[in-house]
Amino acid sequence: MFSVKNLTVKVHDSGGVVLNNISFSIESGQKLLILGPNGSGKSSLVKAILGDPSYDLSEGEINFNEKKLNDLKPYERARLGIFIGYQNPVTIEGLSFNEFLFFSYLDLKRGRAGDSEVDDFRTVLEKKADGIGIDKRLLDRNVNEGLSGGEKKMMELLQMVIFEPKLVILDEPDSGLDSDSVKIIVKALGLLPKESSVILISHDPARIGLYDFDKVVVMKDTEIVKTNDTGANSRDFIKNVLKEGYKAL
Amino acid sequence: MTEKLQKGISEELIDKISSDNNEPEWMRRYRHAAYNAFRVFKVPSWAPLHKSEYSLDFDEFFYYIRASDKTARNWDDVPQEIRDKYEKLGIPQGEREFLAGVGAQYESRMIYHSLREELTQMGVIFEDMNTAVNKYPELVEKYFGSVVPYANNKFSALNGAIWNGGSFAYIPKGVYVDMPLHNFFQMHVASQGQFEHTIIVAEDESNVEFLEGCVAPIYSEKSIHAGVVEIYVGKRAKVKFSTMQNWSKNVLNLVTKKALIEEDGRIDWVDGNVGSGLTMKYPALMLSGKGASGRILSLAFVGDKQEIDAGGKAIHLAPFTRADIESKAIIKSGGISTYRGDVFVSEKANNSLTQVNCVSMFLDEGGVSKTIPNIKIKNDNSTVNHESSILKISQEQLLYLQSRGLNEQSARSMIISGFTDSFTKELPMEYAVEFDRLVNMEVSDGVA
Repeated sequence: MFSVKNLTVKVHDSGGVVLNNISFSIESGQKLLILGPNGSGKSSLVKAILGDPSYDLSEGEINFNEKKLNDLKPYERARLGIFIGYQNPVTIEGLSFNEFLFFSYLDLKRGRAGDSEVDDFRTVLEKKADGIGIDKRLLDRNVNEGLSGGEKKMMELLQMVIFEPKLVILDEPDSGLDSDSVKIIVKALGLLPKESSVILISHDPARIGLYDFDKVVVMKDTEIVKTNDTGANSRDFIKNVLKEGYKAL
Repeated sequence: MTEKLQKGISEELIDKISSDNNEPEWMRRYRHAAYNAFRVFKVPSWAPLHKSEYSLDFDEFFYYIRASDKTARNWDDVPQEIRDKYEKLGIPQGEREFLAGVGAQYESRMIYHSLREELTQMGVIFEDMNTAVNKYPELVEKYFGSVVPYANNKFSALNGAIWNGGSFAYIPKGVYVDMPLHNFFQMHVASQGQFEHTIIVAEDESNVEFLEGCVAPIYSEKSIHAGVVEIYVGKRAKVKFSTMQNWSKNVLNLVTKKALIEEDGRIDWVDGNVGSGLTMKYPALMLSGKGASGRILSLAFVGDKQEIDAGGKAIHLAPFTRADIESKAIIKSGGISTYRGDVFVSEKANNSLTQVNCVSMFLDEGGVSKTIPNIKIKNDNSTVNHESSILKISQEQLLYLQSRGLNEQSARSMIISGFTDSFTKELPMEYAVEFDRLVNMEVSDGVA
């Protein structure tokens, strides 16, 4: 369903290698966890999948439902059904979530949205916000302007739920969320269609309340250094990696 | 038979304007006095008008064309660029011809008449200025030149000498006008006067909103536009004045606008500038009564071969007065935007406050943004804040919006509409929608 094959990525300006020969894949409905210390290349991987123009995919392929993504624009990738939940969501002054989400929704659904959804989009939004326990008033705020770190993360999750993507990539969704609010992540993931696949980047999945993964990959220094791709004993695998520390890898 | 039109100004021309309009003697004298001032005054040394590309020669322009003398322009003479803009903005054909100076009249006349009846019942006077001078000579004489005297500057003197068109609105004490007065409906009379003179008098405790201009581009021959707007805001009265300027680029737009605000009165000035080659405009707030307040919110779009030199003036003459000035500019293709602000706080204006915020957004390389604030405070308990900043649309913002399915063009438009939001939300709905469309159009032109 989604696969990264022998992917090597450089930064356009400096030519520095940020990802080196990365390979993994995930099937429909599966969950994959990416672990790794700061600077290991996790966020670079997200950017490469997103289609950040400052990155050069010098070797390898990214495929989604048998379609090669390498040369697709970021919005074309999004329209295929890939959603990225940002670690640090961007602020856009003066543009309300309400308005932004309406136009994004129309673009992402590309005619698949029913008339009633479009006519009464605000109600759709509010229902979803209620469903995961997000303050509806945030919808009237400007995109991430003046929001706390936790609120920003919640709005990323709300977008995920609204867009109903086929593949979700969440980059440290728990950072900025307190121990109570962190529960919202599992709640939001529970509202996704069953066949949606999830790639989670996290330092501590247990804190989020996620323990079992179909696959786990561990990154260090731009490479994948360890993999558990059978899903068997993923709890123990994660526990051991975190217990021994990344230095041991 | 059409008389031969003359370039330049002369005393004979002024007499002719005055007699063509059957004006009272005081107005004829006012025009002559203003003409004398115009001849003596110089264009300020700092004005960008001195630049060679504007090659300003006052004798090169026509200053007075009677409506009946106007030779109707042929639709084929209207430049393709302007016609394309009407097309993209979805302006109806009848209105397009009117805006481009092809059609002489516009259908909204009927709407205007019914509106006027309602207003008359409330005691409101809303006339084009030429009519008002004859119909209400004493009232007009009382206010004409009272807030913006002809001696204010060279261009207000020019306007005083040869003004033609504009609006006169008088709102009696305590009257609340709940529909915006719109000078667009009058343009068939005023005929987009290049030297219109508009006066709004809002007596104590009254409330009125006035709209001037339109979002769609107005095509004109190479010309000077030197309008004057004078607004009197009585005690506890409220006035909102919105202007939209979109002249073609061969117009030099040199406007003088000032409001005098009495005790606890309030003015909101919303000023949008998209067109014209050069705009010089500095709406001024004369805060003369205790607790008077005003806000100037301006947005300019400057592109290729365009320059705007504008800013707000706040003159605090009484205690507890407050002015908020927010000036935004979107700059592309080498456009030049200068904010030139004046804040003066007199000795008497204790505990006064002025907040100035200027922001320029660059859409590409090569544009220029300058800020020239001039602040004088004569007491030690007032505050003036001045902030200015420059923005660029960041790659991160574009990428974020694209990751939500918006293509690059839509993403860019959304970021810009966020930037203009504080401005557009002050406009009536139909203006705001048209303005957003216009900005989208300007942004998609020539931006990589």
